[in-house]
Amino acid sequence: MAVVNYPPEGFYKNIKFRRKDFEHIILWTLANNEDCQWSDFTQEPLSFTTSTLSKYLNLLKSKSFVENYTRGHYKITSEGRKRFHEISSTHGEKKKLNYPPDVITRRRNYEDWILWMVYNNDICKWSNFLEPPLAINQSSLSKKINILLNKEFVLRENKQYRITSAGKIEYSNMLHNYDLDRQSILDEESKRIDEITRKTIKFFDDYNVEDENVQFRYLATILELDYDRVKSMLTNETDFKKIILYISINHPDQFPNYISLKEFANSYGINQSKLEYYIDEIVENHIYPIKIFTLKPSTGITYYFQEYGKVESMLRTITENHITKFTYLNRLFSRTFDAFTIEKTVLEDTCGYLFDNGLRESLRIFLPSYINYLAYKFEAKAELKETYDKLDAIIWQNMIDIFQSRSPEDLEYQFMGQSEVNYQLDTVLLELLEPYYKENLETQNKACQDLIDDKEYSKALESIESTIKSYENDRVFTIVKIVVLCYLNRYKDALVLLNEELILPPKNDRLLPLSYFLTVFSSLTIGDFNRALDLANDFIWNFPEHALSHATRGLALAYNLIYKFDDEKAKEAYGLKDLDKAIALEPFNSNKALLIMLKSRVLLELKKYEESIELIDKTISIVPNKVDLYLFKTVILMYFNEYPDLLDLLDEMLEKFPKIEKNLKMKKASVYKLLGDLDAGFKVVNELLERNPDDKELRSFKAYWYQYMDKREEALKIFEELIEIEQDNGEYYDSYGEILMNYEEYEKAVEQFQKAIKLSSSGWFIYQTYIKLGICFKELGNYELAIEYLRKGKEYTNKCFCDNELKKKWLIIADIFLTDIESA
Amino acid sequence: MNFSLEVETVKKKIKIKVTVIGDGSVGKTSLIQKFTQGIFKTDYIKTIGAQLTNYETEIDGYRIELLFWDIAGQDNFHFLRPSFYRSSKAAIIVYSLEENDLGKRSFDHITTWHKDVKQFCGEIPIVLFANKVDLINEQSLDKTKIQKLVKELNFLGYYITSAKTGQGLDDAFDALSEEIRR
Repeated sequence: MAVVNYPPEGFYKNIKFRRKDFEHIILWTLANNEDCQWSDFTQEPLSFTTSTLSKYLNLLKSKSFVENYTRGHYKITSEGRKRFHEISSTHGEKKKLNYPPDVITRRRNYEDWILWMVYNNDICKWSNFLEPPLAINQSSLSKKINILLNKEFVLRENKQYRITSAGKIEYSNMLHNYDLDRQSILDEESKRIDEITRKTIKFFDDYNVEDENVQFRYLATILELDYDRVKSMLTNETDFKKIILYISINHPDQFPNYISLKEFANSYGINQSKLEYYIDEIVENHIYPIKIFTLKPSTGITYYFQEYGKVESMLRTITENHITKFTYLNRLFSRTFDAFTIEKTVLEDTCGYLFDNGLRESLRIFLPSYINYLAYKFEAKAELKETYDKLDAIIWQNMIDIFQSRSPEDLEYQFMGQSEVNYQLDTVLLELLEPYYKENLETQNKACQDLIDDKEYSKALESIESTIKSYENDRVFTIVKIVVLCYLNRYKDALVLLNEELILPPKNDRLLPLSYFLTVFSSLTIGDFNRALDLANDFIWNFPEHALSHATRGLALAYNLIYKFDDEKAKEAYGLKDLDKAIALEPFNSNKALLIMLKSRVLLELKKYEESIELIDKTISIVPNKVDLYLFKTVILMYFNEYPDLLDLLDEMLEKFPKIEKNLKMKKASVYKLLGDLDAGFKVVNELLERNPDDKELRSFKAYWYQYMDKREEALKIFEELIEIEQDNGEYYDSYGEILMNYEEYEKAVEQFQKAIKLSSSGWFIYQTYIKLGICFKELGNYELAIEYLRKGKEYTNKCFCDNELKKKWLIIADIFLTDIESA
Repeated sequence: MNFSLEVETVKKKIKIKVTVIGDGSVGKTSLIQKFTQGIFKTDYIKTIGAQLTNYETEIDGYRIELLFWDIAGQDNFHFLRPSFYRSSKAAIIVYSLEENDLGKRSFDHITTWHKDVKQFCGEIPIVLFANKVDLINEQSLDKTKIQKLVKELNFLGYYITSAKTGQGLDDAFDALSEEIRR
C-alpha cells in the first residue's frame, strides 16, 4: 500500500494561509500522489475544513487543474502540473533545505544521504546533492541516484527527485543502522504508521471490515507491503488493498469459515483473475520480501498465515522445541531421526489448540516443507560464534536431508497409506451407507453402482466423477465419491471432501449422517481416534434416533478395542451397547447383519469364541447370501484353530459362491497345510492350476508348496519362469528371495530383495521385503544394515493398509530380530 | 559395592536360546508364562509370529539366562525357520493331551517338529512336554505311546505338564537347565 505523500511541514504549519498557499498545498499533494481522496486533505496532517477544501478544489477544477475522476477521488491534470511548477518555483527560491545530521554524514554512505534528503525535503534537485554541505562528487552521485531509482526508492520528475513509498520504508530501515536515539527512530516509524492507519480506517469503513482480528492481520500485512512495487501493473490501489484483505480474511483462525475467490470478487468488486494473479504473485512468487504460508484443507480452499504472525510464531516454537528434544534424545540413545515422529508430535501439540482439528491433514502435508524451510534458515545463519548458535546448527544440520529424503518414494508410498501409521478397517462396513444413496445412484448412474458391487473401484471413481459434473447440486454423488475413495484407501482425499460436507449443511440435512459416518471411518484409518469419538458423540447428539449414529460410535469404540488407540478407553468401552442400540434401530436387514458382524468382531477380539461364532451364524441366517459374512466366519475358525470345521465351511462356500472358487480353494489348501497334510493341499493347488494354467498367482502359490515340500529346484524354477514373463514385477523377485532364504542362501536372497525394492518401491509387499532384507543381513553378520532395514521395514509396515494381524506379525518379526541383534 | 565381585558375576552369566515349538493352541505361550511369571490366562490369545521371553536362574554359581523363542505354530513363515532355530541350545516340543482332534493332531505332528529341530539345530537336547493334563484324567493316560516316541526320537525326556496348575513345570525346566549346564 502507498502512503500519501504530504508537503513538508513548513508548507502548512504555523503560517497564515493565503489563497496561493491552499492552491499550492492541494496541487503539491496531487502532483506527488497518483490520486487523492477527499479525506486525504481533511485529516491530519493537513486538516482542511470541509468548506475550505470544497472552495479550493472547486476553484482548481474550474481552471482544469484538477480532475474529479470518480466520486471523492482527485487527480492532477497536465495543466495543473504546469501551474504547480509555476508556484513551486517561486516558493522554491525561498525554501531552506534540511540536511542530514552528523551521525549520518560521518559515514560516507551517499545512498543514505540522498535518501535522508529526499525524505526530509519534499523535492530535491541534482545541485542540492552536489553543493555544500553535502558536496557529493558527480560520478558517485550519478551512480547512487541510479541505484535508488532502480530500486524504486526515489522518483525523478522534471529533473527533481522525491521519495517513493518504498523509499520511506527503506528510510526507516536505514535509520536503524545509525546511532540515532531510540525516540527519533520511533517517531519516524510512527509517522509512517499514522499515514497508513489513516487510510486503512477509511478502507475498513468503505468495505465494512469489522472483525478486529481481520483488521489486525490486514494492518500487519499492509505495513510491510508497499503498493509502489506493483503500481506499474496494478493501477488501482484499492484493488491492492482488497487483495491484502482477502489474504487477511482467509486465515487458519477463521476455519471452518472461508470466502472463496469468486464470492470475494463478487462481494468486494474486484476482477477474480486479477485477485487470483496477485495473490499468487505475493504468496508463491514472493514479489515482496515477506513470507506467507498456506494450508490447503481441500481443493480450492487456501488459508494464509504470515511468517512471524501469531500462528507461525507459535508453530515455530513448538516445532523447534520438538526437533531439539528429538535431537538430544536421539544422540543420548544413539537413535536415528524419525521424521514421522516429529511430525506426529507437532500435530498432536498444535491441532485442536493452535489449529482447528479440521486442518490436521493439511497441516500434516505442510509440515515437511515448513521444517525444511526452518532448517534452511538455520543453515543460512552465518556465524557459529556462540554456543547456542552451534547447538542450533547441530540440531538442524540433518533436517533438510531427513525431510527432503521423504519426498518421492514416501509420497508414493503414502498413497498406500497416507498417514504415518495406517489402520485397516473392514470396508464391507461402508455398505451400511448403501441404502441411503443406492436409489439415487441407480437412477442416475446404474453402471457406477455395478462397478462398486464388482469391486471395480477405480472405474467407479471415474464413473461417479462424470455424474458429479452433470448433477453439480446433488451432494449425494459427492458422498458416493467419498465412499469409493474409502474403498480405494484414499482416506486423505476423502477427508478433504468430508471437511466441506460437514461444514456446509444444516443440522437436519439428510446426507449429514453419512458424512459423519465417513469422517469417523476415515479418521480411524489414520489413527485419529479422538476426533472420531468426538464426531461420533456429536452425531448421536444431533441424531439420537438414527441407527447410523449409534453404529458410528460403536465402530469407533470397536476399532479402539482392536487397535488400542486409547488404551484406557479400550478397557472401559467396547462399543457393544452402541452396536446393540444401532441393531435395534436399524430399519434395513442388510445393515442389521453388518452390525451384528461387527459385534461378532468385537467378541472375537475379546476372545469369546462361542459368542462370536453364534453371532456370525445369526447374521448369516439374516442375510444368507452375503459372502463377507462367511469370510468373517473363516477368520474366527482360523483364529481358534478349528480346522475341520473350517474345511466344512469352505466346502459350503464353494457351493454357494462358485465365483470365488480360486480364493476359497487356496484357503482350503492352506488349511490342509496347517493340518500337516501337504499332499492334500498340493492336490487342491494342482487341480486349480490345471483349470487355470496361465494364472500367475496360482503358479506362484504352487512354488510355495514346492518349498513346503522341500523341492528347492521346482520352487525356484517357477519363479524364474514368472520373472521371465514379467521382468519388472518386483513381487516375483521378492518371492524368489524368500525361497532362497529358506535354503539359507542369504547373499543371493539379498540380490533378489534389492531388485524387488528397485522395481516396486511402492508395492503392497515392500514392507515385508525390507524386513526380509534386514534378516538376511543379520544372518550375513552385517548388523548395521540389518538394523537399518528392519527399522525401515517396521516404518513401512506401520504405514501400509493391510490386515491387522498380518501387520502385527511382521512388526513382531522385525522386533524379535532387532532384539536378537541388540542382545548378541 | 564390590566392583570386582560384580565383574566376576557378570563373567559367569550365560545366555541360552531355547526354542519352543508345537502345534497351535497346545499351550506353548501359557507354559512359558506360567514358568517365568507364575501366571495363567484362561482366554486363548494366539501368538502372532513369535514371542521372546527371558528367564534368569542360577546353577552351580553360574547365572544362566534362558531365552525362550516361542514360535507360533500356525504361521506361514516357512522361510524363517532357519533364522528362528539358529543358535538354539535346546528345544521344547509341546503337544496337547486333550482328547479331541486338536490333541490327536498335535501328537501326530511331533515327528514333523522334531525333524525341523534336527535339520536346523543338529544334535541338541530336546524335551517333550505333554501339556493340558488338567483337562484329562491322568490315571487313564496311556503313557506307552509317549514313551515309545521319546525313545525312538531320542528325546532327553518327557514331562506331563499343566500350564494351568503348574504341574510338572519345575521338574521339566530344572532338567532342561541341568542338561544345558552340562
